[in-house]
Amino acid sequence: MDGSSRNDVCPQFLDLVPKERAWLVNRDEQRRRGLSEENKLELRLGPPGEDWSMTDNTMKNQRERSESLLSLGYYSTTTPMTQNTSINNNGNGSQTQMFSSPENTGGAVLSSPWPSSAFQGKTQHNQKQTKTPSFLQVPSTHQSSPVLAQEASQPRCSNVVELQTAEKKAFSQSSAMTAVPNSSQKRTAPSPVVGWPPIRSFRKNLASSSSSKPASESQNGVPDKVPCKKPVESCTKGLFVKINMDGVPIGRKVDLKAYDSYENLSSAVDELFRGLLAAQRDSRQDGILKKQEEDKAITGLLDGSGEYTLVYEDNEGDRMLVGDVPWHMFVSTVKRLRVLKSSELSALSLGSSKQDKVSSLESSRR
Amino acid sequence: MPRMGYSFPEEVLEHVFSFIQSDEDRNAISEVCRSWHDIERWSRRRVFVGNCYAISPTMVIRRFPEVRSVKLKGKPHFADFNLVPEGWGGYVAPWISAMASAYPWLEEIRLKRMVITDESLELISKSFKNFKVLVLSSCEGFSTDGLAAIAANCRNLRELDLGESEVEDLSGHWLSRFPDNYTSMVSLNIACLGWEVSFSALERLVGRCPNLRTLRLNRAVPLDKLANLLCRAPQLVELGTGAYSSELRPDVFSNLSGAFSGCKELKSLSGFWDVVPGYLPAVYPICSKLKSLNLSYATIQSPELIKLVSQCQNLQRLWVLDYIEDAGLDALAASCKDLRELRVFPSDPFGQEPNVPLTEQGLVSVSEGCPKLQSVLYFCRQMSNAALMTIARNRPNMTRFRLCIIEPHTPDYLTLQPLDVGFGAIVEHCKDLRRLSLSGLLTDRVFEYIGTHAKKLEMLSVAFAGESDLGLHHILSGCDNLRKLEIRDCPFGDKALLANAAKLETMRSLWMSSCSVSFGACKLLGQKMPGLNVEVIDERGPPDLRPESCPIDKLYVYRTVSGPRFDMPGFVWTMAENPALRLS
Repeated sequence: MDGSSRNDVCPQFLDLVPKERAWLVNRDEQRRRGLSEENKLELRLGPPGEDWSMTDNTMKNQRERSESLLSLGYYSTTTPMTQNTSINNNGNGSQTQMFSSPENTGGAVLSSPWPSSAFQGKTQHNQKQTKTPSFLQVPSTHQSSPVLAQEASQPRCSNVVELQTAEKKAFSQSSAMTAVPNSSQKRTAPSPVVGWPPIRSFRKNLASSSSSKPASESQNGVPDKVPCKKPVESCTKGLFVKINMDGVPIGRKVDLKAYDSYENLSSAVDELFRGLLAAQRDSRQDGILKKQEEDKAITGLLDGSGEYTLVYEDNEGDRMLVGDVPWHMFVSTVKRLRVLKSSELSALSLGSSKQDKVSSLESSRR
Repeated sequence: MPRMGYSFPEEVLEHVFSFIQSDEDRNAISEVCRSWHDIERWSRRRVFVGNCYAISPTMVIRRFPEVRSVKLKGKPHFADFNLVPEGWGGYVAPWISAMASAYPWLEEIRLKRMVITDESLELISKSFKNFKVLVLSSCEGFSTDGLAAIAANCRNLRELDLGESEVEDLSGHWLSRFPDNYTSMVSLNIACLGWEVSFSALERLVGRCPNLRTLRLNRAVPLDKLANLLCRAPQLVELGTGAYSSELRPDVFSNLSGAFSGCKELKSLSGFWDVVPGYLPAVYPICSKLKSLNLSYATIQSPELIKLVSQCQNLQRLWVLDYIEDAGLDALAASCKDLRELRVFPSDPFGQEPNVPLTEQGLVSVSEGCPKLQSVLYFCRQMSNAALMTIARNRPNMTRFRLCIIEPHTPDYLTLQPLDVGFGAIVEHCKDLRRLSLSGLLTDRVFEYIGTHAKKLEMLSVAFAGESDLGLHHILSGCDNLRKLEIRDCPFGDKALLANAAKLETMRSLWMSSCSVSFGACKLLGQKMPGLNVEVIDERGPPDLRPESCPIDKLYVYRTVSGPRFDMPGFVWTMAENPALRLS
């Protein structure tokens, strides 16, 4: 098949799928031809006129739509698709794209084949044959799975649930499909999902400024100070807190669950930042290349004896020296870590001075 | 017939082109002929690069040598929700260093979701003598030290907007670095800063900048100092308060109220952290002039919100928490007939049960009462197809519709059906819809509706929806104007992606995470499509240690003319033609 089948009238932008959007996958024939994996994927690439496709006319499948619906099986690679030539308005030759799922079909297990009546529905409404809103016109037999085909009038929800459940079993590798589809009104408790609902971190802890109700006009007008709720995300796996170091522009994150004592944390911080700090020092010397010296270890983080000291911000927004409270208590209240120059410690107000009520804003922003 | 293009001297064409600002138009002009291309490129002053990895700074500079204003975007949108691991990229440093030497007259830099260091800020402050505008929207990687450099060196700075960036707050004294004779500030937005800035420096700065129009304070600025600031800047058009709480004292109240009354030009208000309702009436005098009100941090109840909002008859934009309730939205619909944009954020996003009576009804009311409503972001816990159909019929002028039903897979609560038909109505009626975010229980059908009707759609966000590759195929084959597609947790695999590979070159980017795209398919896509960077992001380790059929964790595909990037962290791999180029 050469490029002449491309429609010269419509602007083609390297679309693999012809304008009428019918397309076809034919794995049977592909297997028979014993094509190598690479060749199995026929992508129409290159500008119009250039055709990389290796398909030939014998690949065109002219089966009727109805056959296609009935022949759909659940996820089988031998499922043929049909092409609906009746909507081939532009006179385009139908294209056949073949592609393989890599080696085996384990990766992309699909729950449904591609009934061409999907496209038929579109054509119908394009022709505006009835007055009903077009999206309602899609015939109920046009379903995305044979299971649904027979149950047009019933609530589709449960079928969708079946499909999704089946898919979920297949997608065992997929780690984030934690939400369970639920067709009843009762909602099961959701497991925390990363990045859901889609709100920015600084919007997450607003309601916790009052646990149940928003601030009401209390007598003295000062809102109650309630510890900020940790975002659900941080409870799932590990306890990641951000850690920034003076002189190092980009912060890092550490998983506090990986340590069981302040000493371990301190050496982890040293490891994390030692190289970075050295790199920063080098770069600040106007690019003069220094001899490779051993990077200076960062010590004395906990006792004030070193050049740097480790401090943290707790859930009330206060800045505290690391090491004062028992480890487990620290882990449960820490929101963020900082490695500050020991010389600048006195300039900051540490501990829980009331002045630093304003610092609660920062923890709520995280 | 003489060819008109050649009969005009260059200067004339240049003058004509100077009236043409839109990128699209300029791109069209540059395709007319060689000489127009050359004239246009020398006269282009603004460049927008929607994906900083789509092109290299060198290429931009080579083509447009006289640029004065640059806007760059880095990380994909889902980075806002922590789906992009830290360290992924978006570093602006190469751009800044290239522009430092190439564009000495650069005036404006606007960045979104990029990583910028203090070193870059310092370089900016020293390289561009006429630097005027710095906008850092959702950026990170810098501290107040970098801001100090900007303050100290940018004599002509007009706009410093830190957006919602993460700034390492080392000291509040950076603000004092603005010289005493610096008076040109027009817009200052420091709302994202966590810690106090030097208040006296702020006061003096505000007092000596007569052209100051926009001032967005951070939460650390106490309410009792606000009146003072306002009195020094009665010409303000946009104000973001600090914490809006203080002990209720009549003198503080009357000062505040008087100060607000003095701001005759004020059209936009934001801030309102920790609101004490007793102080809200201080803003009543200016409510009728307000066009934009951001109460999305204000944890106040519906009655107070209603009192406030009912006085803002000219309101065009409202951002608010769901504390407003359906009743408040009814009041909004009744009072604010000029409303164009509504965003309702969840006060308790992780709670399992609704904590406030805010349902689909509120949105329906606003769609009925506000004829100009065109942009919606709405978080709620229940929705029905009927409501969506009503909204669609009421507001065919909708251009941005983002609905987030908090619990994934939630069906129509009345019929228990999927919400396909409701969203189908949205895309069918709202013919100019440019942005859409889906949620709730959705089958492949909704994607068929979208592919059929959403012809102007440019950005689509999909989560926990669909049943099969057919869904993705509908989107990619049907949405002619699609530029950005972001998908998470959907059962979309290799088929639709590979079959529509060429479509990806017409889009800015595609994000797919927690779907079912196999590593093998990614490799194939990368090999066959040299015009795309196919990035596999997987913190579990190298994908080639697992079978090729294994689904990868995250996929980010974007078109580029500059090939694979070289600043990828260890958990990102680019699938390239030449396996040797796959850097890790």
